[in-house]
Amino acid sequence: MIDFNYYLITDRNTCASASLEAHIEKACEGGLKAVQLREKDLSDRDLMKLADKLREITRQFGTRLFINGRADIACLSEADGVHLPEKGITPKKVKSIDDSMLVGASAHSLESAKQAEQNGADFVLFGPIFESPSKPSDQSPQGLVALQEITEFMKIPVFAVGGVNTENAARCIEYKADGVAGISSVMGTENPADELQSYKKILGRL
Amino acid sequence: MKSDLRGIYVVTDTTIQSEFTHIELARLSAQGGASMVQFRDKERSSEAKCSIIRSMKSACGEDDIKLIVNDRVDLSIICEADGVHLGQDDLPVDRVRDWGGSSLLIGATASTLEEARDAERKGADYIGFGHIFETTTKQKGYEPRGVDLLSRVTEEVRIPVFGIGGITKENAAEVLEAGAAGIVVSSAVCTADDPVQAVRDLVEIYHNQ
Repeated sequence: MIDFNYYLITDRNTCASASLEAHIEKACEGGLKAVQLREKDLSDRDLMKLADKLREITRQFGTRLFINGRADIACLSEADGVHLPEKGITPKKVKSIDDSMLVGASAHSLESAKQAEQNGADFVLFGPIFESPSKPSDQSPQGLVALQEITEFMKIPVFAVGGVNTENAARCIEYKADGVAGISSVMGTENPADELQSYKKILGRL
Repeated sequence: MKSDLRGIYVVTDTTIQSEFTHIELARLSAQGGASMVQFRDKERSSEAKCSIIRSMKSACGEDDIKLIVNDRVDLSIICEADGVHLGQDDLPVDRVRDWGGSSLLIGATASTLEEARDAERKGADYIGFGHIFETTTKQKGYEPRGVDLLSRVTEEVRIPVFGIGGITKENAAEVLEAGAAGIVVSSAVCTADDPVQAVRDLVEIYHNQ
């Protein structure tokens, strides 16, 4: 069901192309398999428009589209899934609206990763693993050992997130991550396809 | 059921006061005789909102009070509220109607006659038209609409139109005289020392029209 190993998270403000749509199209052409629309400063109406555009693009390439936090926008745009922040609604609640929705959940601790799994998440994002340029966060990096600890406990796929780039992605896999997720390394380059090819070599598939 | 959209409609707000919670305000509004209650909160996490909405639903009691959720169609459906209220920057009414079906109550904000007509055409069940008077609850980029324009709107659209914005017991009668199906209040109830009495006073004005 989770047939991707690289999960791109959008940020139109750091996007290296003229528009987010153009950038995602380039990434899809480069083999991107999954993308999460996460643009927190947009009004619902503008977010909806962007979700529609990304759906149109991703559909042509068979790329999975996830919407951050909003099951309604995911359903309305015919996205494949919803990505829930740690304090979002539970995965079960999303599936109560539409049981075909895939649900990803962010977790910053073993406890919350386990809880997400129990509540029906299809995969989790655990992090931040490293210092992150795109989310200079309130949280200090969790590191690779914590990553491995989580993956040992979890049945659903665990993606490493936070400061992950083509230099350190292999380390995440060594420490048992099923895949990696990120914003800056693919959003910030003018050639997302090249960057994705590097990830493909490390991850075996995108 | 949808023909009952009229009367006093309270929007709960915990940013303009800290005396009462959303849940308490729902209970007090029900006690005072409100017909509709709207949960409006831009700050809490989605999961926190969910548990508040569910509690508000029980606080509204067995009476036929409609519980409406601001903006979030997903939370309204998940928490089994009666409907959703959508502003001009929120999800489009027609798309939500197609998806949510006819049982979902959809309210729409309008501040011009054109927006009101558009909301009706797109399938809204009621309109919140305003702001009618000066208000401090929400910052607006335009002048109060006044009761004359409200009266044109109520003449031109068939769905119920509620007046919203700056309405108090002193000016509520004017709004109802303009043909409004009801009035939406927030600060007039939420910041009152006695919200139950504040709702009762408005309900009385409504019944006297």
